[in-house]
Amino acid sequence: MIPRRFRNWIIFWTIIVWCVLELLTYPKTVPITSGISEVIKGFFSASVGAYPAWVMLLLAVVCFAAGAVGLVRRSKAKSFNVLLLVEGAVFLAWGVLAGGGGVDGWSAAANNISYNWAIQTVVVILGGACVWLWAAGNPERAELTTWNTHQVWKLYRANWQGMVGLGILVVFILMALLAPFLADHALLDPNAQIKDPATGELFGPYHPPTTYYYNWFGTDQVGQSVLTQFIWSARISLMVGLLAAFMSTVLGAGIGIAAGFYGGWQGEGWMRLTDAFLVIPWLPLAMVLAAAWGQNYWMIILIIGITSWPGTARVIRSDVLRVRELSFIERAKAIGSSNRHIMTKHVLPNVMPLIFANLVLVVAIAILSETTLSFLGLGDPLNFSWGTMLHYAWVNGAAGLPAWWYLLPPGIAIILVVLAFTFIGTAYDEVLDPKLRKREDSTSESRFTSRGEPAIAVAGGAGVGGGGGIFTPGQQTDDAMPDFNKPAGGSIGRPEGGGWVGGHIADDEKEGK
Amino acid sequence: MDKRRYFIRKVLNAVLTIILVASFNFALFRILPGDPARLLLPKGKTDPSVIEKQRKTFNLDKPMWQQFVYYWRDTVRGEFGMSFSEKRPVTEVVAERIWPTVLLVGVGTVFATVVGMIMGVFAGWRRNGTYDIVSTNLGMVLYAMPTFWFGLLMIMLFATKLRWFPTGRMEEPGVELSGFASFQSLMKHLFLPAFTFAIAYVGEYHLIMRSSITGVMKEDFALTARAKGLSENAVLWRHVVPNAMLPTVTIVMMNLGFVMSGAILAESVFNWPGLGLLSYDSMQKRDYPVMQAVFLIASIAVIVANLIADIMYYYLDPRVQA
Amino acid sequence: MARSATKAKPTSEKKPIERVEHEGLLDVRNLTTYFKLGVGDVKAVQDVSFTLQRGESLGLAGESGCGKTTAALSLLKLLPENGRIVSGDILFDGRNLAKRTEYGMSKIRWKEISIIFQGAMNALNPVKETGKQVAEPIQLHEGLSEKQAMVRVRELYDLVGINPKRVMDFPHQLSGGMRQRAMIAMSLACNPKLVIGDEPTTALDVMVQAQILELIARLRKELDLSFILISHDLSVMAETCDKGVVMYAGEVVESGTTTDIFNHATHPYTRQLIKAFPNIHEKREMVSSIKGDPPNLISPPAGCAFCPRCDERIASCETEHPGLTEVERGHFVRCVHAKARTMDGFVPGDEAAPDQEGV
Repeated sequence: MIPRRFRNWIIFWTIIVWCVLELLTYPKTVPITSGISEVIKGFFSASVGAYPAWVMLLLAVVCFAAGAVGLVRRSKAKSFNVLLLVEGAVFLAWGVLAGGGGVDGWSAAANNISYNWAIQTVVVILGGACVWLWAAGNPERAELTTWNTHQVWKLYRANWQGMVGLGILVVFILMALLAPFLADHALLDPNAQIKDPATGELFGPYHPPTTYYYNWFGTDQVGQSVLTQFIWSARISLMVGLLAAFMSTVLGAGIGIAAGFYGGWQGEGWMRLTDAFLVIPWLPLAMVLAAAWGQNYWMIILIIGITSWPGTARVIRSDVLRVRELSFIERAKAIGSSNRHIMTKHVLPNVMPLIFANLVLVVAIAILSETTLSFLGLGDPLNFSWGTMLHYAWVNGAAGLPAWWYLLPPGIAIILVVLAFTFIGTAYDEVLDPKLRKREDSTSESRFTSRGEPAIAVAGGAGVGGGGGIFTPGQQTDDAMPDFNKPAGGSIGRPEGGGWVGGHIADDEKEGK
Repeated sequence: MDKRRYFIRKVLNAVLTIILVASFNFALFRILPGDPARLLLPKGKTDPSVIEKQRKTFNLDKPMWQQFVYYWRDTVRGEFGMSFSEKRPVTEVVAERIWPTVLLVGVGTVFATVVGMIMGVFAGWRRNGTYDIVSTNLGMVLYAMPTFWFGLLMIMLFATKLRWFPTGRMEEPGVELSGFASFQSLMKHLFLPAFTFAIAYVGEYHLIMRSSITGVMKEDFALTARAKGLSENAVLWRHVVPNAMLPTVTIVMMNLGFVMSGAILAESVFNWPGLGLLSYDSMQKRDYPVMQAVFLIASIAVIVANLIADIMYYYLDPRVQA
Repeated sequence: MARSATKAKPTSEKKPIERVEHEGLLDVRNLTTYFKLGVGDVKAVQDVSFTLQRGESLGLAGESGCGKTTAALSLLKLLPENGRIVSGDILFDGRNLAKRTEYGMSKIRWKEISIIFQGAMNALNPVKETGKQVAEPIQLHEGLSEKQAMVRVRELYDLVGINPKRVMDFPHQLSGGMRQRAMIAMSLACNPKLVIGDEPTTALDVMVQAQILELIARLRKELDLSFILISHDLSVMAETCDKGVVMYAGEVVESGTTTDIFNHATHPYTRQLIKAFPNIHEKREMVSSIKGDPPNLISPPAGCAFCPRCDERIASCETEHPGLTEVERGHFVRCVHAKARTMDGFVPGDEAAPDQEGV
């Protein structure tokens, strides 16, 4: 019943969504001293339950609406819609139980009730089942968004840089997720100085590292544990980076597709807007915005999101321009498909992998941006990030001491995480690169998209962020002459030199007959 | 396209963009939450009569379109109001900060460009050799590294531990030097900030040049040059490098526009009295008139750098002249 | 068979062969070139032999990826970093190029063997004036100043039919045909003994193709050039060359005079190749293309390489690798059917190595 080819895709996205939710909620109420079972319960109840009851109500309304619309329009995946209604009912029940009814009750935290972790589990399982049923009900659409996880992973695994990046990232994500287990959140309290268990005395400010766990990275200017700050900072740094990049990519991809797809004044207008944003120096702008909008990490996400999209827009636009010229789009236009249809069914699936690769690279830049803003003192003063740590180290003169234990860990962590994302993005780019992938073509080509359309290619020169075109895909691996591996054109009926695209267009034309 | 039309088009384009960005600047400081008249006053001054006076001086009581006209008049005249932290005209405050920034950015950029590009050329030429692997990974690390963190490490190592260089500022406070001694002192103060500023770009230019060289080396004309019997070195420097320079030069020039970001960080860490430190200080003190001026200058720098890049491209790449 | 007979050639001598007896200008013996790839060696050129007399022209034909360009680049040792000549000799004018050092090769390149690349838009440096690029080898090999060399360049431009005033034009300012003419002028710059044309007309439109082929033919006559033409188009080869070699999957499958190859095509591949291109002199027919893909050259099939795409295959094709068989004087074919298709009245003599005979 469940298409096997969606399995990896669903698991992959479930993990990502769960990680983001988990990072978002920041469970402060689980002190490690309250017993291991409490910590575990708190850990698993945190992600959705940390929101107030009215969020549950909102989610319930969304579920009801989506399910009802689906049922009324008699969509193919009937069981999916029914399940959506059930999920909505569970959310509603959760909200009512947590709030206890009444107008004021809706602002109560949803994890007020003692068995919220059980409800949470039900919600997650139902959610997973919903996605699953949707994919089963709409195999074509699902396939357009999956673009073959197996194949990509097979190629990706061969890239050592990508694997190293993934390894580093997994370590840091685990550290961020497991922060409640690794370090007591209570130690982040401004008055919580750490004591040396051997002597029972406070370490005091700027104590160098010792073998005591919480003093592995020494103490800061007021005698707090740097290790605790370091571990909990990973949450904010990663979360802000991911969400800001997500926001920037959604904005950039939307504008890029619009600019590329529509010709004439509309496309020109979007392009002008992009160019104008591209020349605005982001740090001064971000500083002005951060100074005016106040300092919490949601604002930082917003600021990075709205200042860093033009690079993405440009890359996506150039790829859309390429895709637009492919013959199957011409054909779709010829048979009178609407712009909306062509955009969502043909253009989007073809640029989707590029958008994703770009997203990964933008995460690296977003994390650096967050660090920079926090370092300048514009970060969230209530929540530690690596940038905030460096800010405190700087303004308190750690460099003059020199308190290397305070400076090195956050900096090295930033470098590693940024490198990891860069490696992953570059490796993924290479996986998508037609020159590289040609090797697998004969077997995999038709699986990349649903109807034998030319598989996805990455236009060279992915200019991400400020500079542009550093990690140009396509120029990275192709050291051999691929010609001998699997010659380009299938037949010699046409002049040579068509190259990769030529070969595929030829295939497409054949199909069109 | 002939030369004059190309240049005129580019210049017009730049002027148009400057007008757009300056208008954005006008809008930015008015869409910010809060009363602009309050924003343009130091914190804590809430006396209604003062606010009213402020409103008058900045024409904030007039309708939006008139404000826009006044804004343009003042901007063209170079009047940005009074800095309330320094109690002096913004123009004056900004003017004395420009040269230190130009010095820092100039030295840093020249260093980064020369070193980064040469490193990149050799890495791209001997691809996958030991040097390439080492230098490229180093380049990636430099690129991923936060500039200010590197600056702090530099201070820690060279200023605190080894005491080779001062920890910051442009000159020793209270010491009057002249002639060569003052130059020497300036260089000593300049070294660390300029190096810090440059180091991130070294990584970037290295990676760009390397990938550019690799791309160009696959072109047929590189093969032609080898077939002609030219030595490897001649092929590299006479045929490959001139072509590989093109994208790199564009990116160097574009980056030159974005130096403000690097300058803010390097100058704040090293207390270098330039525009970057000024914008950091004014941000801390919420000195909006100064921020507005610095923001405008930074934007114009980007546009002018882009224009210069276009003009340079015209001379470097004959294909543009067609 | 011919294959084993040629194996005995002295390829493993320690001392570099200088001054060997040779026939004609170029004698390629058992050339084998591999590309190293992560997954294994790509056997791009295997055991290829041919000869060329002074003033003669030879065509190398086959699909893209069959190794013809690699064979040509091997002559000049211009292989990419992962390519190497595994064995074989390239005897050029009494010297064995296969054993030459990089420095030794730089004296041969262009001065004695020059090459016209496919699609001159990419073969010319876009940021350098074409005339200066043509002058470059003259300055290098003859030690002339740029000014003196430019005089020569103007003459060359005149020779190939470009207005000499255009020497300072950049490649993008010239049309495709003119760029190819400039490329030809460049190839003649140092009066080479041998010119290799690697698909010199492929990227051009039909009218210009004809003009360029005419120009090449005229120059060959006027300057008495030795010429190797690489093309995927057998008809171009037939019109321009005296002798032809048809390659498939890195091997020679048929060789002989172009008249023999064209009129008595014996290998199924050659026949299909001829059919694949319409002959402009005959009435229009449906152009047929060859079905299937060339084999993977990392692990070539044990039997005949063309077997999977062949209409005339028999059981033994899949397992036995056929050798070259002489079907008429100087006409060799690598096919099991070759013996049966020997031309009437021709009795293969002693099984001499083909490279010592005409081809």
